[in-house]
Amino acid sequence: MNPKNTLTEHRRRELVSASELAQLGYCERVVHLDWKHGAKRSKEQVLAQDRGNQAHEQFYRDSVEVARVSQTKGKCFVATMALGECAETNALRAFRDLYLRRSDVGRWCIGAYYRVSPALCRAVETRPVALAIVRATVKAAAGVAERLVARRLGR
Amino acid sequence: MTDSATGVALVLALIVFGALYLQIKSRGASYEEPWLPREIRGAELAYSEKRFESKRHGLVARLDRAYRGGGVLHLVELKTREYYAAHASDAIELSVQRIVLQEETGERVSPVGYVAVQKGGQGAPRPIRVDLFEEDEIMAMRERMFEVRSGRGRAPSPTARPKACEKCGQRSSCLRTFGEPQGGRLS
Repeated sequence: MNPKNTLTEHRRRELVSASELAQLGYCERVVHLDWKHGAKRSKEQVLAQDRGNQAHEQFYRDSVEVARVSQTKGKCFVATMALGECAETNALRAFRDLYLRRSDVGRWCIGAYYRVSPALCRAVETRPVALAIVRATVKAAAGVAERLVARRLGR
Repeated sequence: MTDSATGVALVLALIVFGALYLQIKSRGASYEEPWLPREIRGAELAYSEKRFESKRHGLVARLDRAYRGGGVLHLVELKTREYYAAHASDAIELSVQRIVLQEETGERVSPVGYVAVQKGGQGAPRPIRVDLFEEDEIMAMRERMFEVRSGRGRAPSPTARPKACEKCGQRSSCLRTFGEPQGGRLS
């Protein structure tokens, strides 16, 4: 095999990282020199890197906390308890994205809903009458949401 | 159910909802981060500190965060800086993340990303919206990177921000190899 082709094939397969490619947008000369002589970082750059690493660790810890609290969304009584996964729950989600998420008040309602729904779930899931009332209410709300979504999408 | 009964049921549900919310708000922790851009506030955090790769493109990336909202994934990359600004290098990094995330998950990723700049490494970040590069532009950059490494093609360009040279660890090698960058003398 032609050595040039082998080299091209190797480059095609080599995984290039996002940060390596980003370096190209920062300074091509640094990319060349790092490759030729090995990376050299000044004291200021090392300090900045350390600061960045610490900030990323905190950012990740925050992410874990955000994910933990967001998990309560999984126990959404509308989707999983009252109706299950169906066209009505999809209509409610579409209503959330098309109407509520577009305003401050709407986003407040979404946030409030996600906080309240786990508690409502726990309160209702062992009470058949309460569950039937919730199911009927949610079904009616889904019907309204479906009409509004259809109107917004021009269907 | 008649329309009036539906209306009454909805109003009752709203009242119960409001009352419960006020009660829980006083002891519940907030999952919302107020610094998030309006477009993804309240969206689901889909991925965090996760590595994705695409063998087809020859690219790999570890993304800081990706949020799922409106059927699209939105990328957020944290940067610590002494000033609030986003650079071309940020857009490149996010664009690579977009390609590998789309490739591995099959989900659509927004062509707009956010650089969350944290000044001095403290306090709440401030998001800066950046337009991402197209896939063919990134693949061309990937090719250019191999050229630059091997010294083929046109000579490597200096940084667009000469001030960055002052703190660069390669400054002396750079001066020896390429001389002074155009537009100013390095002190």
